[in-house]
Amino acid sequence: MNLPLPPKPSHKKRLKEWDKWLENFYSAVLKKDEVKDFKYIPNASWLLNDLYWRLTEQYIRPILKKYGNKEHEERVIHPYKIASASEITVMMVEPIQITNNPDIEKKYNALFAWFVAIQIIEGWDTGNPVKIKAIHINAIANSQEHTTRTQFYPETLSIEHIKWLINLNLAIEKPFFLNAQFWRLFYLSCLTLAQKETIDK
Amino acid sequence: MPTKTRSYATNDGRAYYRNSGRYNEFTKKAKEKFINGSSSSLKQKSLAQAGNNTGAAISTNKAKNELGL
Repeated sequence: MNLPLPPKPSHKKRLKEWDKWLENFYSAVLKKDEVKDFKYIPNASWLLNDLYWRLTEQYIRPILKKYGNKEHEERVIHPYKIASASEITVMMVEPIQITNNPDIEKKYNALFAWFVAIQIIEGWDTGNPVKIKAIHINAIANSQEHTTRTQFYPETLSIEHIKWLINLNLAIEKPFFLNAQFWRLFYLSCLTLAQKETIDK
Repeated sequence: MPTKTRSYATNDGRAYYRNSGRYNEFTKKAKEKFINGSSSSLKQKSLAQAGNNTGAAISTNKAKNELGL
């Protein structure tokens, strides 16, 4: 099917990224599982890209703070909001299709949403000379803090977030900004670890 | 029981999204309304690093096991 290409360079770039994220998720996660009756829905990346821009332009950009002078004002969407909107987009489109097993299908879609958000946080060049790496991301994602001297919080940060995505009712709410705060804190936690490593060296 | 309709696109760029339950407006018209592309997205480095040793791949596989998949 020849679907219309988005006109803006940033929209075209994101379309290629959606393609790549689907490909990466397949090769890094789905392929080794040999998930039975799995397929991506037709035109998955186009649908994801189309909805992503609709959501960001409708819900996020209009209420962001303006930068620049009066002649050229811009509302910049930061990586945390991009990660947040991408996750919500995935959960609205549900690009992963697994026949006759809606529960498993939902879990894989939520895992894909997490995967995309981490790819964005991991790959974004924030300008900070200290870069976060896979080791920092995994340490934070897998963290289980103490609740008492002998007990730990029952779920890792990643699982708690993924379960929240699974149970989120997007027909009722689209918590872009709340979720963006999660990703900002996630990045800051990773950055703290990375900076500590730099100081310790 | 009928299965839930999945997200899909039609040839003219019209789209239906599974979890909003309705058609959106025509893509062409919607695109005219888009004010700006995200300029920050053009400054970013690679957002789609491939491989099994990325933070995304490792943390997702770990979460997958914890979910019992």
